[in-house]
Amino acid sequence: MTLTGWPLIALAAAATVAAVTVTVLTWPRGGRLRPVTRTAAVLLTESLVVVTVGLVVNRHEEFYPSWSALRGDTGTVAVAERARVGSLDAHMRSARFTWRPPGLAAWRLAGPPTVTLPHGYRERPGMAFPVVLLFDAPGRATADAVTVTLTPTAGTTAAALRSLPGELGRALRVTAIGWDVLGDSPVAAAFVAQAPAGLAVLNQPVDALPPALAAPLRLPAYAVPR
Amino acid sequence: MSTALTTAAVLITAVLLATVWNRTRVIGRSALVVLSVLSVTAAVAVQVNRLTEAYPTQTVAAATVADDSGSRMLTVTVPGPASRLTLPMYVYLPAAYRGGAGRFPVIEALHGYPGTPVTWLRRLNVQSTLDREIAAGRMAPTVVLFPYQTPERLLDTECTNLRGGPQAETFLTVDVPAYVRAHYRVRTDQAAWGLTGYSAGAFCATDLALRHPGQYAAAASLSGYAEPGIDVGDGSQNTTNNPAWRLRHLPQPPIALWLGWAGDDRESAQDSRRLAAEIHHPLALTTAVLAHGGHSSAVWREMEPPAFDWLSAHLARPRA
Repeated sequence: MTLTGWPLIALAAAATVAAVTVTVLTWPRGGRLRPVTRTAAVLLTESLVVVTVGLVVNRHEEFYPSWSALRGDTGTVAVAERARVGSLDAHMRSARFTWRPPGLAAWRLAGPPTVTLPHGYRERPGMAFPVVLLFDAPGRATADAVTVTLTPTAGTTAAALRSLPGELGRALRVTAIGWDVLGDSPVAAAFVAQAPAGLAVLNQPVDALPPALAAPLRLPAYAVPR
Repeated sequence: MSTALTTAAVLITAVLLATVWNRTRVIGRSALVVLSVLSVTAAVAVQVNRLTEAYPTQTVAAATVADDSGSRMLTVTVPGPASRLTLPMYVYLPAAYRGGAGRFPVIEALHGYPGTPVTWLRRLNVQSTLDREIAAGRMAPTVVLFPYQTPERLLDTECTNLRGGPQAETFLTVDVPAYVRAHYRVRTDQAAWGLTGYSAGAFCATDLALRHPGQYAAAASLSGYAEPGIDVGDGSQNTTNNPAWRLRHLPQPPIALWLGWAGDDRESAQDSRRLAAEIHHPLALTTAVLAHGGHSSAVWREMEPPAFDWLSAHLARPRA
């Protein structure tokens, strides 16, 4: 019998009516125990009235649609994602190196990108770091962020660079959101415009980057129909 | 205390009804019946109040101050020159706030209706949740605000500026930020401010984030709705104070939304799925679904850590 179904409400209502009837019929009886039987009958009737009204309200508002919900059981547990390991994590000898990912040729850059790791990258193996993508704008490495410097050519397109976040995500422990893309190149602007929502922001102050964090607790997601 | 008192009242009136009935006439009997009904009503009201914390019966500050090196939950009063509302607010300061000089990101956490921020503190154990997520490195140290949203506990504002009524939106988006910027070491830029809430507070978080994208970078909705379900007084419940309408008819802002719901919470699930279907670039969407649990504290307790983790990942880091 479901918590919000009519059968349970009908049962509770019937029990209430029965309790009222029994209370009225037995009210003059009971002999010496009459105060006790009357008190019990009143309390039972009051309890059943409250239960019946509560069931009706709960059916209408759906606070607790099931017995398990009433017990506080959500049937779901948030789980910590496993900390990802970058494919380059075990091979890096320096905090600054030239990056040659498999899809490099398709990007048609002037040369392979340079990657600068933040201090503590190796000492914090459970952390994912935000990214600063420098387009044709060699600059300083950013604290607590993975800095990728690349030099586009006339043949570099934002469409081709769409594979860069995935490549970097496989190579290093980086976040998939909140990248800071710096540079005046039209390719930089196009890269941000074409990136998935939330991935990249153009020329934001580097201190607006998100923090380096451990893998979050997550719940199952809903597949949005498109 | 109030539970014991009302339970005792129910028992006493039942005993009186049973023992005095035969010794009284119509007026006395009617009075006994009325007393019984009142006592039962009071007992039910007390339990409903315990669930919603609409009228908290105990102060919470003393119970929520951690040790000298830990986080703190402060109680302050926010004067609202812009909204003309003056309301209390709880302020969570992370352990890292002590002694440092940095500036922290901020999350405004909004409560449901009927209710008060005390639900966050008591039923949702928010201070220990925040402490745990920050200690685990899943969340950056963040200042979290728990403002009251209405001067009248039983007036549902849905965080809007009611025509001829409380200016809740102005209080939450102008007065609260101004007070916090003036009194605490917090970041002032949009990238570092976020919103969250459960039930009506979840609607508030979504609505305020969409209405003020220049002020908030992200919002997490725990069992929220697509519409306010009240009459704002200017018809905006059907347009500009209606997230479903905004998403369909206005350009979507480059912020991020987290929508969470329980599969058997029919209205919230339906509304959240409706909002999710309308969201597109540049608005970023993350969803989270619990198998069941209804519209209850158990659901919000389960969603709370993932929602705060997600918010922290979408807000700017503490500034040294």
